[in-house]
Amino acid sequence: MLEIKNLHASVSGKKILKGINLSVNAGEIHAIMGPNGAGKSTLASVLAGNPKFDITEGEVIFEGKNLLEASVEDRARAGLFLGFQYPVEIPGVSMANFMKLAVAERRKYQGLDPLTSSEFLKLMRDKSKVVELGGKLMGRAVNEGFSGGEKKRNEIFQMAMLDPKLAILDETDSGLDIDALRVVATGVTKLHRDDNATIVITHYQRLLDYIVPDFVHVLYNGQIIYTGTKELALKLEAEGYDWLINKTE
Amino acid sequence: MIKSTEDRLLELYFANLDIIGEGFPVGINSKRRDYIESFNLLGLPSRKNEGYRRTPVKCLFEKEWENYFIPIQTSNTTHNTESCSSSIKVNNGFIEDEYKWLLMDNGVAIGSIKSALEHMPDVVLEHLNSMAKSDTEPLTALNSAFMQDCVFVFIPREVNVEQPICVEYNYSAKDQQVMSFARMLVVAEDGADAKISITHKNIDGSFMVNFVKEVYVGERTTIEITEFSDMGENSVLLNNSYSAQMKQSKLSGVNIWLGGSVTRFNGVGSFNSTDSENRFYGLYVSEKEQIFDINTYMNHTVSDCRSFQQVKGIAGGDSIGAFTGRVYVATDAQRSDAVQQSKNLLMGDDARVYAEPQLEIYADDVKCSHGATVGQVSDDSIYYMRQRGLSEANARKLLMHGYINDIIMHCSIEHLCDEIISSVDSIVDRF
Repeated sequence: MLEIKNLHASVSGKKILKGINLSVNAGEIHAIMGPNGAGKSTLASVLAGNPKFDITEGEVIFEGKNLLEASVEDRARAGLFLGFQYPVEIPGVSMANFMKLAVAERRKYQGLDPLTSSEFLKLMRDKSKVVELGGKLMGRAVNEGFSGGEKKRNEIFQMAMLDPKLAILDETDSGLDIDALRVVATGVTKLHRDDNATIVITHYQRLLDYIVPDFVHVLYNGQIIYTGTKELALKLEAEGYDWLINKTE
Repeated sequence: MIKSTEDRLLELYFANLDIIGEGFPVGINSKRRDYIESFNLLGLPSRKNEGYRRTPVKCLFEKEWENYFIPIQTSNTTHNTESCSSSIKVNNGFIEDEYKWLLMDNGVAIGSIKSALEHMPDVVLEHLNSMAKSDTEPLTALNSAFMQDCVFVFIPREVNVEQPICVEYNYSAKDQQVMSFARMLVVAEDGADAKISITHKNIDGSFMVNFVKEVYVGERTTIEITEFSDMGENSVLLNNSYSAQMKQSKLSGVNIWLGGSVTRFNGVGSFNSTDSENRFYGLYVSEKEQIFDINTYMNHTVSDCRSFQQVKGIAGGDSIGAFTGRVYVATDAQRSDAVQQSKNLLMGDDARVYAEPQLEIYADDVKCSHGATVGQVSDDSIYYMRQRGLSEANARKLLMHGYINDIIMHCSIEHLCDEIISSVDSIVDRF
């Protein structure tokens, strides 16, 4: 589904990604871990198409198409979803209006008929239950007045609404209390199917108790230095990154 | 000796005195002298006058404007008045013949002030020029001196008017440059409840419109006014609006300003008695080299009144948006509650916004707050929305709609709200 080949990216002239190679197939869950500054969020941003970053080398193929040529919105419409690390507040723009447009674009891309108003409202209601946000969402402006945990749950809500092929969750667990973590993680797991895939960027093992990864990659200094299984995450939690960095240098 | 612009206006006035005063009783005409003298003493405001730093009034008057003292042939306009309980059309300041006087079954009257002077002279004489400040505001003085027609709206006591009263000011002069005076007097007696919509549209030609509006709100009365101006590219709208509220009344105004080369609004609100509320919502969207100069003056001279002002602006191109909001709270105006918010969005490097809140408080038991922000569209918000599949254009539009919604949501006249949203959309699309 996703093929990243020798990806190099920089921001304001500073090199961040220095040759990333990664393959993600349908049905897989990949975890990306690594110390701060390694380039985890940069990878997520670059895949999403954040214009702040410059691609200096490499290619990315998503669903058989050149991802790097596509605009931010086209990537999203094709089924790429980014769960933001710091979701913005957008006063004045209601979740309902926002999602209505987003869902319509996704469905148009997929060649599906648009939803009727009542079908859409039902979808909103059903999906908000997945993340236990319920009535809170309907009329509210995007993330306005939401706590950190609510914002993260709102990211998963949007993921549920858009049903992406590939979801990239950028530190979705940061700032969450135990209950919020459970809700978010359970939500993600419920959405996981054989025909979609998830990349989970995280520092902490605890999320991976819920969202069990097929592969764990360690990103350090702009490169994936090691790929292991879920046991690797446990070892990193216990021993830190140093042993691995020393091993691979 | 070169004649000053003021002198030319005075000459114009005296040369046309007879036709200007035609059809008006002595009671009205005798006061014109005071108004023109006031104008003579005050002179046209220039940028040196504090309140006029942004509006080049003197320069505007120096252009070659035609003056017509009789209604000229105008283009036909059809507007949606289906949802209006009554409507009136004004061409270049003159009420069209078929709208000169309409008296509804419930006692609501709408028409020309000349007709009102025949049917209810006491009401007119009591309220006309009672609120307008011709002694301190030269443009108002000029309007009062030159007044040949005026929209009169009367809502009798305890009458609840369900559907809005629609007033359309149309300005049309083919390819000419015309100076027009237009006026309005609303008298809403005790216990009345009504909605009024006012539009200023420039069909063709360039206009400099000097508009004065007076709104009298009786005891326990509720009046909602939605005023939408969208003048042509080279036109000027100088709007001086005044209101006076009696006890326990509510006046709310939604003002949307678009178009024109210069739009100046000066809104003066007064509380004559306690326990009343005044809510003012405003929105301007400017582009190219437009100037929007919005001024409000809220007078808390009595206790226990509430005022709320929220003015938003979107300034693009090389335009200038300015909001000066003055709230005055007198020594005896205890328990006044005044809130003022000015929020402005800059859409480009060359647009400029001036936000000047002014609070003048002399009482010690009051709640007064003011806030002003000037900012840009959040790139992060656009990116977030694009990541959910929205095009940049749609993301921007959604953001803009969200931004202006705080103001538009108070527009209670559906056909007008739709028109406003669509007009704002087409400007925003160009940013």
